[in-house]
Amino acid sequence: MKSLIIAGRLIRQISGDKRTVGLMIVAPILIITIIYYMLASGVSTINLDIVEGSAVDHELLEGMAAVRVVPDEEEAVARLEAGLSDGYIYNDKYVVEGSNPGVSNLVRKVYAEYAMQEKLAALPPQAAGAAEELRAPLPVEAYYGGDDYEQFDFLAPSMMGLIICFLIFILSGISFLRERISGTLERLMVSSLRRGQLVVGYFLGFGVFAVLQTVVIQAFMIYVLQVHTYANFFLILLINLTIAGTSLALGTLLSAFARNDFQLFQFIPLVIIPQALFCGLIDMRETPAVFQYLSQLFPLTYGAEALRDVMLRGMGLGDVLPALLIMLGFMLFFIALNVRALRKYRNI
Amino acid sequence: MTCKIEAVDLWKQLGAEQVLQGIDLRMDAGEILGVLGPSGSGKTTLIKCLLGILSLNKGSVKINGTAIPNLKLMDNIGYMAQTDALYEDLTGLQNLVFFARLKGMKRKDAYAQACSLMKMVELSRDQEKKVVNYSGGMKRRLSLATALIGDPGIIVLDEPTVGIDPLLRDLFWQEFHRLKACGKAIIMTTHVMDEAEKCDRLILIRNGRIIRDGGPEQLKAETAEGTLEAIFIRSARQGREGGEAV
Repeated sequence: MKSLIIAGRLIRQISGDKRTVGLMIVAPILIITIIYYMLASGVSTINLDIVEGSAVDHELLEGMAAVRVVPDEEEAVARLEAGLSDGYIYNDKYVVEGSNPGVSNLVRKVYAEYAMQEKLAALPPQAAGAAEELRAPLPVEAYYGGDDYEQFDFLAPSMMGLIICFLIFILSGISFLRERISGTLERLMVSSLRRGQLVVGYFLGFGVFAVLQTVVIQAFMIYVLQVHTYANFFLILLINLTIAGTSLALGTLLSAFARNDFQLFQFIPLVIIPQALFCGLIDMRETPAVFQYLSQLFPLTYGAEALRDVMLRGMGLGDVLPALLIMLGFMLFFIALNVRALRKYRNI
Repeated sequence: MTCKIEAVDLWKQLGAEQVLQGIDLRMDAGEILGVLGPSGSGKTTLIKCLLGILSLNKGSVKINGTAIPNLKLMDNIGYMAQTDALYEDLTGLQNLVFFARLKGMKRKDAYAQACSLMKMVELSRDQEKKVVNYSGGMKRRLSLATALIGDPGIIVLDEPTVGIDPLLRDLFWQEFHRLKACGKAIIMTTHVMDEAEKCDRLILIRNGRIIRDGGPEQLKAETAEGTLEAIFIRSARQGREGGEAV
């Protein structure tokens, strides 16, 4: 009952602060929208210059890149330095700008494809037909998802988990810190409220906002951005609540080691950025083993993987239960440490 | 009278400093006890140890014969800290109702008592305003009302009248005397000497020890100047120089 009183107070406080409510709803939408458009706007067409007089099949190249003919190599270099082209061809010289590996790879692929097409064109018609047949792609079936899945579809679950993790960490950490700094925590301890009831009250209060965030983020992803997802809403909600729970427990625990808001923010590089890097936004398969082991120490690693399993692979509760239990373990561990840290105020 | 608080041989170390050094204290119901002492003498630490929100290195505190901290006893204590300790993004009334509910009061009773206390501290007109919009004096009044919510038998006030005007101070003291007449035990720390004179009993603390204990008139009679201020200043100076006698 007393936990509910604490939760009610938190809900009243936060919902009365329009700016914080706005942050909880607008910030995730803004971040997701920016990332969505950034990923959708990757480089797909390269700009190539051909120095006049070079023995190049212009028509063939125009099918692969945006081609421009320049009068001499000096002009080609000037345009490359100005960022107007990604490379140029001058007789047998194939040049790539080279500072951006992603764009360079695209240019190299165009050069390779062009060379292949030229060689095929030089073959007798029968041999060229056979060669084209050899180059035909194999029919590939997607076990999960489909051909229309984009990179954003894969990243969306991790981003959802990360945003909830980050915002709940900050808001709950600052709320608890203010409770300590303003003296209200001492006042709370001069009542029959148990330390555990206080922590549970915080969990319930912020749980309401985690639910709200989940609904907003999920609705935005599905109905506005039209992200591909299996819409098992309640399971996604359960995973997000577990992520929010671990984040809240960690935020309130770390607030015990901060004397002001600024000191709490100093924990972000230690506990939030590693979780952002380990949560699946970057593929960890070929990273050194030490980082893979390290990633196991952060709750969001399990939460984001569970979200991917449910949203991308259509898995059910039974499949993600181990991840949920591990996160529950993290949460109980952080809560136990926090309840212990509160002994500083009252040892019962 | 019934003994409300009994503290025996209290020792508390904070960091490298021994803040309390063997304090013994008894206090009865219907008494206003003033705790005097220079800054850093251990007044607030003593109060927190008496409340059970700071653990002791040695010694014990009993309230109504029960050792603290004890959850059941906690609801019978009202505490006003040096800081206002209020939720600034809630209204004054919401603050009071919240603390009343935490003390186990039903919603209706909590609301009724909160309104009555807001009236007592003359904040009725502003009870629906958020605390962030209150002046310093209004916050102190609300903080006092918060300490009184739930009708506690023991009221602990840490410098309750700091930063408030004489009119308001007079209002506070009227309330303290009314509470005393109802049999409440009131402990307060103060730096204001004319306020200390209104207490029934004073203890003077220096370097974590009680160096004087008695009624205001009794203490004044012990000095040539015949004022509490003279005792306080001499005590503070000797504390800085490391002396013991007053």
